[in-house]
Amino acid sequence: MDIRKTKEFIGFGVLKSAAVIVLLALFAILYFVAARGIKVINWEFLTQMPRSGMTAGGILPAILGTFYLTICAICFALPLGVAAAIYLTEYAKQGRLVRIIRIGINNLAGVPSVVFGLFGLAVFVKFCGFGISILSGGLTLGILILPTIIRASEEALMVVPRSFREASLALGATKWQTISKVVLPNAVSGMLTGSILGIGRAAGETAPILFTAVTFYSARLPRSVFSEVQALPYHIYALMTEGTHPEAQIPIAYGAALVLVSLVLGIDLIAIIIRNRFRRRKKW
Amino acid sequence: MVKLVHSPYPSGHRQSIVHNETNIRISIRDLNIWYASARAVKDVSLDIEKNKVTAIIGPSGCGKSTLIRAVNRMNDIIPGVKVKGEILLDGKNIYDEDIDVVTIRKMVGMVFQRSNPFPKSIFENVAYGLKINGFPGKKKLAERIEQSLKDAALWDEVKDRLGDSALDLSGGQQQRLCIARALAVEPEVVLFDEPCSALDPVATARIEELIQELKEKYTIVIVTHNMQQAARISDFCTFLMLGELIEFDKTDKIFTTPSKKVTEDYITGRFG
Repeated sequence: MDIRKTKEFIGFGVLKSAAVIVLLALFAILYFVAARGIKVINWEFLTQMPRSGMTAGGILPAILGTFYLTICAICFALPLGVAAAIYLTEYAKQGRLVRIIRIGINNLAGVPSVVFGLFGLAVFVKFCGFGISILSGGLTLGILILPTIIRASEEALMVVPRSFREASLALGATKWQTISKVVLPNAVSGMLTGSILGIGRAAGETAPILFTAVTFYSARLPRSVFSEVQALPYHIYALMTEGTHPEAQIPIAYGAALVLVSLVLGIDLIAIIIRNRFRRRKKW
Repeated sequence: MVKLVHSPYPSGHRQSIVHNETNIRISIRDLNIWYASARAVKDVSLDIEKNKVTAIIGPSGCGKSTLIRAVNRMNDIIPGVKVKGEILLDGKNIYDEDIDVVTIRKMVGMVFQRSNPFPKSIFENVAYGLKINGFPGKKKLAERIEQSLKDAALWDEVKDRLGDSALDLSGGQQQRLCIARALAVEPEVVLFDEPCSALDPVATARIEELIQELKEKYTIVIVTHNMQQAARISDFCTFLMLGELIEFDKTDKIFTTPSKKVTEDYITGRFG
């Protein structure tokens, strides 16, 4: 066989197997979690409070807790991140200061999540006096995903063609009108997609909420943003490391893991649907 | 031959060989434009007459786009651009401190090299300029849009599908839509920056015909790299090279008896 063809064959082979390995890893994790978790999942599991010292009953408080924490993080980080991205790409003079801010944002994305947890403890729990609460945990998660949201939004803004901006400005639109009526509508899908993927990641984080929001067990559902909550990732951790009835706790942990993974995949699915819907509409 | 020399003058009071002085809408006075440290336009002065087509020709990179974009201050949005000199629109310098650039752009519309409709419906594209300026009333809006599309010779082709996406139109139709969009805000001057460079000959002919009609109502400045186009549609013609104004005169004169050798060389295709 032609030597060039052999090389090509080997090259493609390597690339293809890399892709297959990635897929296999993903499916292995999903199968592993699903096979063990599915046994305990039923309606009661999703809608009941835990009973008998966490060895029976459901995980409703943890599901709700994760839900509230995520919502709180979104409400804080999405507007702030989008606004910051608009400022950085559209308004700020592109110079040294903006470059430094961008480097800062990128570095923020690389900070280990447990450090965010410590920061949240120091600032939101102690300094602001929010205590161990949904608010503290949500804000901490929000800061964790801010860099993702800012970067996704910046990229979405930058791919809006300059010709759209020129057309709008040349018609006598102000800069703000151009941004709000032309640039943002064309960037919103990219912003949302990137942001939602970031939010999916936040929903599964344990470390940032460890010191700021969660409790091992609460007898009641949270009543306000100042309540401490149970959350799925921490619930799994607690079930696996604490308590004295592993034979009863471990299946519940897998059940909770399956719920968490489904939740994250569900969030990602929303992002994909939004992206596809907008992609079909836009042709530039 | 006029105004190559930058003699000291009280602006607006020079005598002009080319123009009837009372019909001048735009006066460019000693205009210099820099990109960072590179000077793209050098000491250009010229007058643009009302209800006439003024063409700007010259080889690539001669500063013709930079010059035309200075007239509605579109260069403002490019970082690092510096402008010195004056552009008087009806006697008022548009680079004065107290000038609102938004007002200038309303009075001086622009059609770009590549058609750039918004990814919205045909109707919304033309309505955009009116809506941002707070145009009242649905009925009036529809009337104005119809009139603009008629003025841009596009109405008959799109009147039954105003709700369709502008991106479904052909290239030539898109460019005429951009013209309609520019006309809708009722500018006094319309700038065309190589409006036909991405179009086929048939679509080009339609735009040229349209520009001829538009000069009844508007003052028109067009940048073109196509000398035949300049000869066909313009009343006045400016020849620019390396940022300098080489010659400015009536189009007939430029294309029959140019006063500079280099102009003659360019229009006869000896370089460019």
